[in-house]
Amino acid sequence: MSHQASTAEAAVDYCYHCGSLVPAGAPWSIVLDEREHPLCCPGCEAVAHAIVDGGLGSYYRFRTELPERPDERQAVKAETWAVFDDPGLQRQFVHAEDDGDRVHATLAVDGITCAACAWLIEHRLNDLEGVTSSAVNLSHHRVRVAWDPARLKLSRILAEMAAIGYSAQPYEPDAAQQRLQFEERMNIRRLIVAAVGMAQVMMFSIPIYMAAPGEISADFYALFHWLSFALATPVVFFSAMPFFRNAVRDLRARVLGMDVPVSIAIGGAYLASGYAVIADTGEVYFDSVAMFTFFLLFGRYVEARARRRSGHTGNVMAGALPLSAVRLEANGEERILPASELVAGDRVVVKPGHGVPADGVIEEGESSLDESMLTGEYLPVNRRIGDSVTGGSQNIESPLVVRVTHAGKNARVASIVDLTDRAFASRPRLARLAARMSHLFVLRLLIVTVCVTTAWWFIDPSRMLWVMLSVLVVTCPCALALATPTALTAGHGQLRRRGILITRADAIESLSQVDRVIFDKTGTLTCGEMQLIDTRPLDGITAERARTVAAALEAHSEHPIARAFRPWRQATVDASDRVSRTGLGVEGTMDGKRWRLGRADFVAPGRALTPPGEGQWLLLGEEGEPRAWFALRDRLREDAAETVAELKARGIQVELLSGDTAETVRGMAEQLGIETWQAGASPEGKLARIRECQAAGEKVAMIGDGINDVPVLAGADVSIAMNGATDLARTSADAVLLSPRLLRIVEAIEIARATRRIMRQNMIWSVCYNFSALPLAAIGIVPPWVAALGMSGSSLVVVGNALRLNRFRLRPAPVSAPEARLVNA
Amino acid sequence: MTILYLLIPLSLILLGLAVWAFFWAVKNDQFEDLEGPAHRILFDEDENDLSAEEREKRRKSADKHDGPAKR
Repeated sequence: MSHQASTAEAAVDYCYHCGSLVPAGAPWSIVLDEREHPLCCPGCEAVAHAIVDGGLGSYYRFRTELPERPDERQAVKAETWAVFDDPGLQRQFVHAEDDGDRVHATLAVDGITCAACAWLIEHRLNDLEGVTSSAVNLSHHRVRVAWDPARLKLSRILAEMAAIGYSAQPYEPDAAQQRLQFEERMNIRRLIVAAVGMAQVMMFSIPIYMAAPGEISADFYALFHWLSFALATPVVFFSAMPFFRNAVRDLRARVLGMDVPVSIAIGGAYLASGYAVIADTGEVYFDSVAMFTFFLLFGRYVEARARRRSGHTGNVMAGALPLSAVRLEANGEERILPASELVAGDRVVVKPGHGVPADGVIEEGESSLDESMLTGEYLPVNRRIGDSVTGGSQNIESPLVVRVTHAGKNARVASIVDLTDRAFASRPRLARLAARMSHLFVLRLLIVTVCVTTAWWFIDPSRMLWVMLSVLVVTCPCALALATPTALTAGHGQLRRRGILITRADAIESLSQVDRVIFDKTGTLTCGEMQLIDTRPLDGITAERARTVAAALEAHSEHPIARAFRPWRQATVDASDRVSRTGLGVEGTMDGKRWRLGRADFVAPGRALTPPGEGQWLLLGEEGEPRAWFALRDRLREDAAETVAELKARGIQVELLSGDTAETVRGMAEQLGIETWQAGASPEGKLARIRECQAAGEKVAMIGDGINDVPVLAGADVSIAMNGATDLARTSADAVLLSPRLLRIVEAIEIARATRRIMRQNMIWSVCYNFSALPLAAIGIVPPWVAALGMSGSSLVVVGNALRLNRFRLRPAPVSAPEARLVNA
Repeated sequence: MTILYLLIPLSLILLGLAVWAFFWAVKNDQFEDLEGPAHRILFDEDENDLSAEEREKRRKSADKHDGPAKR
C-alpha cells in the first residue's frame, strides 16, 4: 500500500497554467512549442487554449508569477456579461472619447499577478476588431479600454477577458475613491512644489553661506533674501498645508501628534525669517523651511506608495455575489440588471442554478439553497416563503421570488470579502504602542524646547531662535512615528505577494513568536481531494457501471467524496429524488430502483458487511443489495513532509490534531515525521490541547480549514486557514494561505520574524537618534539646515530599512516547485 | 554681476515651466501607474506566435465548436 502511494506521488504533475497539482489521469493538456503540457482542470484548459490560440503563448515565457486558478463557475456565467450592454447602465461608466464616435471605459480586473498579465490583456484586447487602445494599470489593477461601439460590444470585451482568465467589471470611482485619488494627486503636486522651491531657495542661500563677508553687495543680499522669501511662501502655504491642518486637528482632539512640533518649526521659522527680511535684521532660514517640508513630504510619499502597493488588490465582492439579477418591475415584467444596481425593496427572480444576488426574504416559491459559500455546509438547506436568504448562495431546485433587504455593500457576504481592509482598519498593538510613545515624546520634546529656549534667552538672545528651531527640527519624531507602520506595511506586502493574506493586524507579531504549529489533518496536510483508488464490483454489475451510477447519485453534491466520482459522470445516466443523509451517504432513484451509496450499514441495513481492505470504503447498493465497494483516499500535499522538516529546523514544534481514526493519523504522522499527534480529537479537545500548550507558555499557531475549526482557530495565538477553506473560516483566521503550497507557512513565519526584527531595529535607531541629537541641538552646535538634513536622513533610514523587507528571500524554491517551471517554460 | 539680473528671471521662468510640466503630468495620469512601464519595456510589442489570419481562423473554429480549438 505504502509502496503504491509513493510511486503514485512520484508521478505527480503540476498544471502548466496555474501550478496546481494535476489529478492522476487528468485528460487536460495544452500543446505549446511542440511539447505537451499537463493541465489541472477544464477551467485551466479553456484559459490556456484561449491564450495559445490567440497566439499569445509567449505569456508563459514572460510571466514571473503564477496566475490564480480559473473559477469554473465564473466561466459558466459568461452570458451574464450581456447585462453591461444596456445603454442606460453604460451611461454611468462609458464615456465618449474626445475625437467623436469612439468610447472608453475603465474596467477593474481580477487576477492580475504580474506584468505579463498586463501584456497578455493588452494584446488580447488590441487584437479584437473595434478596440482602438487598451492600457493596463498595474498599480491599481485596472484597464482603460477604448473601442468603437458600432463594431464591438462591451460584453464581447468582458467575455474575451474572462476567456483568458481575468474577470473584469466596469469601474467607476465613487465619491470616496474620487476624493482619495484627488488627495493622492494633491500630494504629488505638493511634493513637486516643495522640491522645486527647495532647489531654488538653495540656489540663493548657498552664495550667502559660501561668500566671505562683504563679497556680496548689500543689494544682492537683500534681493536673494526677498527671492527666497517669495519662493518659500508657496512651499509653506501649499506644500506644508497638511501639516498645519493635522496639527490643528490633533490639538482640537487634545493629542500631540508629530505634526504639532513640525508645524511649530515650519511656521515659526517662516514667520521669523519673514520678519528678518522685512525688518532687515537677524537670520533667515527659508532654505531650512523648504528642505524640512520637502523631506517630510518625501518620507510620507514613499510610505504611502509602499502602503498602496501592499494594500488591497482585488475588487470588492468580485465573485461573491452574482453579477446580474432579474428584477420584477411593477408591471410584472422581468428586467436583467447588474446586481450592484439593486436596492432594498426590489423584487428579484432567482432561477434554479443561479446565485441569489442580494440578501432578502422569500416572497414566492420554495427551494433548496446551497449556502456553502457562507457557512461551509455543503448540504443544501430548504427555504420557503418568509425565510430569509443570503446573497451569494446558489438556488438549486425551483425558481424563487425574493424581496431584497440588503444589497451590494450591505449584503452579508460583502462584509466577508474585504479581508485586507480589516487588517489595516485595526491598528496592531505595536503600532498603538508607537503612537502612544510618540505622543509622550512630543509632549516632552515641547517641554524641553521651552526650557532650552528660556536658557538661551539668558545666554545669548540672538541665537535663541535658531537653537529652538534646531531642537524642534532635529528631534522631530518622524522616524519614531514611521518605525512600525513602514515595517508592517512592507511585511504585509511581502506576505501578500507570496499568497499569504493577513486579516488581523496583530498576526505578524504573533506569527513571529510561534513555538508550536498544530495541523488539523483534513485538508491541511492533504489536498482535500478524495481520489477513487479502487473499485470492487460485486454481483450483477461491472466496475464501469458501478462508477457511473455512483457519479449520477453524487452528481449535485459538493462534498469532497462526490468530487472523487465526477470523472465518471455521464449526461445520459441520471438519478431522481436524490437525498443526502448527513454522515451516512446519498440515495436516489434510477430506472425505478432505489440506489444508495455510503456507509455499509446505511446501504445494506441488517447485513454485517466488512470492507474488503484497509482505508476508507464506500458501498454502493441497489434496493438494499450490495453492488460494489469503492476505496477512497485523500492525498498528502506534496510539500507536507518538507514543511514539517523546515518548521522543525527553525525550532518550532509540530503537532497533528485530528478527528480521524488513530490508524490513519499515525500513518500520516509517521510518514511526515511528526512525533506528537492525537487522533479522534473533538473541537473541544483541540481547544483544550491549545489551552494546555498556551498554559505552558507556548505561542501556538493553528492551521486549519473547515467550519468545525472556527472556535479552535480563534483559540490559538495565531491561526492560518488554507486555500479552499470555507469563507467563514477565512474570516476568523488571522491569515489565509491563497496558494496551495504548505511551505508558505514557513515563509510566513520567516517574514513575520524579519518584520519584527526590522521594527525593533527601527525603534532602537529612532530613539537613539532622537536622544543623541537633542543635546547637540540644545547646546547650539547644530544649525537648522543640518537639523533638517539629520531629521530627514533618520526618517529615510527607517523607511529604507523597512523596504529591505521587499527584497526578502527565504531561499531558492526547490526544483520540484511549480515556480521552477516559470524559468524553464 | 549684472548678468544676474538676466539669469535670475530666466531661472524663475524655467522654474515656472518645470512646475507647470509636472502639474500637467499629474493631471494626465502620468503618475497613476509607476510599476507597469518598468516591466512593459521588457516585452516585445509584436510578440505573437501566429499570423493575423491564423488567429482569425482559430477563433472562428473555436466559436463554431463552442469550445477550445485543438491543434
